[in-house]
Amino acid sequence: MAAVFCAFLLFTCLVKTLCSSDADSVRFNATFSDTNRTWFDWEGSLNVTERPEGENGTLAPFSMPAAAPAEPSPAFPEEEAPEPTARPDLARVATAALPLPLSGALPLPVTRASDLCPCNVQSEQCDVNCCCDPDCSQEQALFTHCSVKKVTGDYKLCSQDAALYTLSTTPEGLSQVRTSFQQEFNPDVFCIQSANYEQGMSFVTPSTPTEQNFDYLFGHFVGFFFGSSSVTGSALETPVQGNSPGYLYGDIIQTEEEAGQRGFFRLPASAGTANCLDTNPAAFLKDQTSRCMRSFALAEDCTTLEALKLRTYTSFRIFSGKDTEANLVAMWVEAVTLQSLEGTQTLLETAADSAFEPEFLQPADVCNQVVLQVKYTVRYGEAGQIVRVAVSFVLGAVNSAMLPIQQEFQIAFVQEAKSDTMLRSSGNPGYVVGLPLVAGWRTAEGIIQSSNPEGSLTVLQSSADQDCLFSFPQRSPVLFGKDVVSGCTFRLEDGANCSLVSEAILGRLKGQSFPDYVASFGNSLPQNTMDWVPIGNQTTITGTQGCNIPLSYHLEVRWTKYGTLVNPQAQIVSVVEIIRFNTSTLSSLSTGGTIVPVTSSVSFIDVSASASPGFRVPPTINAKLPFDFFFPFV
Amino acid sequence: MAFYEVYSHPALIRYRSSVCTRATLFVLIVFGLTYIPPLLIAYRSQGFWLKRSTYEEQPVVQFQYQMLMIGATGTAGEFVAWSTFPNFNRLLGNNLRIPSVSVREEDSNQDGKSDRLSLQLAVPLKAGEQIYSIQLLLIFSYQLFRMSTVVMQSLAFIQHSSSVPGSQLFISGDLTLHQRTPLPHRGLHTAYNVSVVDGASPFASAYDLTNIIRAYQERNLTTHLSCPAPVWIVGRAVNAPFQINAEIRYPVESVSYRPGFWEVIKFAWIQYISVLLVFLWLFNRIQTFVFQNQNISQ
Repeated sequence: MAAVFCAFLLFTCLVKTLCSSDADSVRFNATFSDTNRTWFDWEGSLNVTERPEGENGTLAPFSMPAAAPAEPSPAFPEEEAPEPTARPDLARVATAALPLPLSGALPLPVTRASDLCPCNVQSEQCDVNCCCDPDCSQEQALFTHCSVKKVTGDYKLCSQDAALYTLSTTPEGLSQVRTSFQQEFNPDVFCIQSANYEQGMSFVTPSTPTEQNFDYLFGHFVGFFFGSSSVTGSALETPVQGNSPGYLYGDIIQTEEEAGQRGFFRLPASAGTANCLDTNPAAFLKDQTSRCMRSFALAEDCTTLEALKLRTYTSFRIFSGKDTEANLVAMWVEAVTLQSLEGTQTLLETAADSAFEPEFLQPADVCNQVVLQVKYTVRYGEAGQIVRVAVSFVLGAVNSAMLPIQQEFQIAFVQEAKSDTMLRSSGNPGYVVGLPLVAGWRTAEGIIQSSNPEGSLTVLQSSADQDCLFSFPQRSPVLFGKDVVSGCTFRLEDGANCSLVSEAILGRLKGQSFPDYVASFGNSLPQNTMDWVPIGNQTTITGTQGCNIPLSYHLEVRWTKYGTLVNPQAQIVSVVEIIRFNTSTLSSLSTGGTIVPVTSSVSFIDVSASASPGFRVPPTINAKLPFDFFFPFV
Repeated sequence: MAFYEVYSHPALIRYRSSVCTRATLFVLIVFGLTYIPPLLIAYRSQGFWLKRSTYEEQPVVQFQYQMLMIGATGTAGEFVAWSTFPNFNRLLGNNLRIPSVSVREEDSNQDGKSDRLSLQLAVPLKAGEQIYSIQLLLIFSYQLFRMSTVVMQSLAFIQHSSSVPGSQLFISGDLTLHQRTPLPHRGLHTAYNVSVVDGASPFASAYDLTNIIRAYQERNLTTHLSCPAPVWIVGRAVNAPFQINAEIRYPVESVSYRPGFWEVIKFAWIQYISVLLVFLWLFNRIQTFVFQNQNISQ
């Protein structure tokens, strides 16, 4: 038994000896570059490998090159210069390049602990507290401690050389370095007794780069580095794919600027921050909406900043296709809407082809006709040809309190030669989560729908001033499957006309044009009135006396899943609006002029029964094994 | 004269019976009771089939020398930014501010795997500019080899903001792995070996941090920088650049995986056999008792 164990130990030692020979060359392909790279920046590679266990600086001298190239001889007097003939492959080819140390060959590694002094970094000068520095003779008296106390050989050897440096104090009170060399023994059972393969204790000799093998070495050792990305600045030039004269999906639209040079269609957008990045290209067939922030100095930049001018967004012409003989398509200003300081918008007759330059009104400190919204509608024909580009603007007045402004840019692609009235359905057939509810008004011949793509069923959007009565109403569409809540406040003045206030608040909650029918499917046709669900009303007026003011408006949409289990379609079953009025009298509501909050909310309730199998099974004895009883087999 | 045992051997007693007897039935019942209940006991006491296990491995992490930096230089939305992606730099226009960056990856234990990354980034600032917040995106190549080979590109996202302008941000943390579902026990996984940031795209949406992080967090395997104590140094001289000092270590990760078929069988067998031994002993005694006392006719 003991013999077997001894044989095992012997075998382990042997294996360790052998394996250490190429321990440095066996590693994953992806990582070898690091180890080898240390050879090339070895001016600084005399770094002591401080092993964390033990306070002494323990060296692994086998793993480091012998000398700093600056001073090969004084630190290593015993080292002979290696004969160049022994390593012809190391002779440098390009002598004009950075010289290798010792005239063309790599120095031999130093393995003797007594010759190593990692803290000796200044040539011919004493390094403070470096007890092994041979340049220090007088200065040793001033040392307070030794920065390197111990230098040892390879820690894997069973018996290793160790040089110990200690400071002692002379009777005069001065320091004195004591150097002692000794053999240290490794307590590890699996230490190396004798290394029969000396080269295995050091890194493999790197092959010197020459003109012939440089590409191979570069490809073999290179990892990641700065500037390695092959992405160049030519991404803006759309590569010609195939013979298609028109644009493909995602292509950058080529333009001709006012001065005649080629450019690309820009649609400012934000990335990383909210600021507008003006050079963002627009891509063919990618509908985009971007809102970004533009900060500028009102007086200085009002008339000079290009991004505020309408001309910036219309002055270029678009190439209808990618090829060189493509036609040029000019911008067609479809509509211009002017927005006042308060936010009221007026649509201008576009026939008046005025310039719409921003103008700075000195006394009022207002910059007028600033571009706030740009909407491009690009019509494309077959084979990706751009036929027509229409653009509509919102120009607004901006004062210093409104800075920085938000600009909105939108681009939409519409196929030419189709019907102009583009009806977007909110699902096919069932509603899709996130698309607006389809609503309309019932007439004798069917349902009338609004052409607004955002849907006609809207919900109040909370505004900054929170005023139900006097603020500019902002509304957002009711999106299927998304429960929302918002609100506003009002303050009842004494002597206010109750019915007028009630009417105003109800109008604010429901919106100007409140539909009375909702499509049960996302693509219900207006002529099929049976597909439409009336909006019910569950208004309860509790207080009969006095005045009733709506305090909350709730829209409850019940929907169910319809169809197969794998592809359920959402179908709206019923829509009920629930308006809650004040229960107490108006006087208590407005005591002391308190602010009364009014909320508006929408909730979607899934009323479909949970999925059940579509076939009847005869009753069976339910005595079966758990589903994962034979887990790895089935 | 004392006696001692010279030799002993067990005597074999054979009980014979025909097929259709009560003895046969008894033997069959005992056989079933011996071998099936241990299976039920081992299963019902949970953990019979090993479904998830973990192993430890230090990943091979390499900094890809790709980064994206955004710093807010004012309280009104002014910013400077830079990245290693030329298309993003082109988008930035006047807000581009090229910092000086120094990077070093260290392999402290010489095992061929990098252990830490030290990164210094100095953003030069004009007079009047101050840094209020900094966002830094670093892209790494992350590889696991022990069970299934995983090669992916991953992110470390550093984000810090302060109401007081600073001169330096010091980050010292670990790049830790997060996984939502365990890895398979073998095979090659390169589904996430795609660029986290599409540097070839000229569009601003490709560099929007919201889009990048949203797409990244959808992945099963992600890394993030766990840095509990970022240090924000307040106060900066006018000419001095803003500095980011980051020390990111690549620690040993414990990776969870789904064990393979034979590993599952091995652990199930251990559990089954240990319960079966008790049953074998018990029913052996019962059988011996029954047949010795001739309780059943053979």
